[in-house]
Amino acid sequence: MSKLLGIFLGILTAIGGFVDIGDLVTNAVVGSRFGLALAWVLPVGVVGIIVFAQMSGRVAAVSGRATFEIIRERLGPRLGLANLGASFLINLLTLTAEVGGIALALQLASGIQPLLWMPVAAVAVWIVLWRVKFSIMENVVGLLGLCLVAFAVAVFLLHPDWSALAQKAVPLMPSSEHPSTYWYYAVALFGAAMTPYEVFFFSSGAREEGWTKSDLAESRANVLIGFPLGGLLSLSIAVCATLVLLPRGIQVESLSQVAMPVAQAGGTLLLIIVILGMVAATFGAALETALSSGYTLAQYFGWPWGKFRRPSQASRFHLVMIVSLLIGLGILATGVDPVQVTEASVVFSALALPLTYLPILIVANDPQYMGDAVNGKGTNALGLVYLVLILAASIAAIPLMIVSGMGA
Amino acid sequence: MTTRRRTAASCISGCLAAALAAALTGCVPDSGGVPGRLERGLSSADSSAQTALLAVRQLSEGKTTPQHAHTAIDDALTKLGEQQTELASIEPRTADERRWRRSADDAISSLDPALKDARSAANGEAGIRWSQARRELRDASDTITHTKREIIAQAGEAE
Repeated sequence: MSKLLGIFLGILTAIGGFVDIGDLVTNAVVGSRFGLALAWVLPVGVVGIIVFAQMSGRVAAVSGRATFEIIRERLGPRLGLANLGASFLINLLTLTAEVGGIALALQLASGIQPLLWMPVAAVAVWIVLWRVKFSIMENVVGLLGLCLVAFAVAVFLLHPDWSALAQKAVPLMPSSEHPSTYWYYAVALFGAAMTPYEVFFFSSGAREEGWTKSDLAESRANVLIGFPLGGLLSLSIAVCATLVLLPRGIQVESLSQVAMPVAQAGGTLLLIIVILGMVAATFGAALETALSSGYTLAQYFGWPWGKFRRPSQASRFHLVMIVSLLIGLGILATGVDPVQVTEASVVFSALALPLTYLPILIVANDPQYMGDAVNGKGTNALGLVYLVLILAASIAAIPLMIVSGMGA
Repeated sequence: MTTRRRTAASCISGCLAAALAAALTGCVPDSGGVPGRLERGLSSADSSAQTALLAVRQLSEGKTTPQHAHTAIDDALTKLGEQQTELASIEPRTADERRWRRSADDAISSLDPALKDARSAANGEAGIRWSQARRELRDASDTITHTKREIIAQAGEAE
């Protein structure tokens, strides 16, 4: 019974923790400009993250070691360092976007300027990282993140014409948009769905919670049920924007616009719920990205890491998180728009995807670490297909950004 | 690591850093020439007008909180300011382009007082009614849409 409850809780937190500021902004931007013409990217991204998260969780559970510990050993320190550099920088950018996202969500609730909320958000993230147990942290923010279901509720309350909506989901390029803009946002959506930190957090979290081979079924349930439902939440954000913002010619450039369809559909109560969900989702993602900064660096250099250790026993791990938060805060203090940071972070995530996912595929096929739990033929075939997609997205990201003028 | 690999690695990281800096500072080339940039600026301004209109409507109907409505209108004002700065940076080369830029500037400028009145109405300040704020926003939006259509048509003819 407790095992079942554990699986159920895991699935709920996987759904609630799936959406972050990148998903909130990118899906709303795409819905308000392209309708559902880019909806096809979401299932592609969700299947990709399922394949690799499941793989990295299995690596951690079977080998008893997290991703970066093995990457350095398997690829050697030099190639591992290149991998670390790219992953750490992208992670830092994502952390900056998430802290900015918390401040923007708190502004929606309070009306107080985000610049004043940013230090508060960073300190709150640090306190939770310092004091709160891993399982409590993960479950509380994951469950509160479920408030974003308000987007799905809003879709039904808006009483859409379902057949017309389904017709809009055909992957056709709108004549009003340049092809480079269409593909730029396709890459951005793909990058938002497959953000690298999710894999670092998933595999290191498996070590934090002491997963073994016997926990693999629970891990699979979290990924195979929780992630697709999280993907549906992302889709509902795009549908809300398609129904309310697109017909009015509103192009999403701020978080306040993302919440407008929910207010239109369900009034003040649903709006308050969705704002709570936004705060929880961005706060949860800020915790995960801050932890991922510590995980990647500590695992590469072989320092003691993890929240299962006291901070005094993993001082460098905690120091990296504090410094990362301070750098993120410094970037935001320059006055840069957090939404712009978010848009850049998802595109640059796409750029760094091969560096994250190729090593996982290599390690998951290495019998030295995995024994008889190496990838099966089906998983490898899917992994390879995704590697090609990831490479294509990575190569196209910067040229598309330049040609489309960052999707202008 | 060989010298060649090291050079390649530093080239890649240099390009990445430059691209990131360009993205964050907004220094990414724009397409479509002067008319394209004006059209995008006007579309963005119209989006601000429609955002404020929706925020005012939702607030007057009790569908949103004052904090959310204020934030939405403030964000629209901020974006409008950015559009005006962007417009000022456009350097027209022909007489047509100069005329288009002037009319785009006039259209976008007409939105500024409308947004400020919308903010006053949302704040419950005396003297500005919901209906007046909505009408001003609609008028400004109409002017922007009209200007955009004119520029698109004239730029098409000029080609």
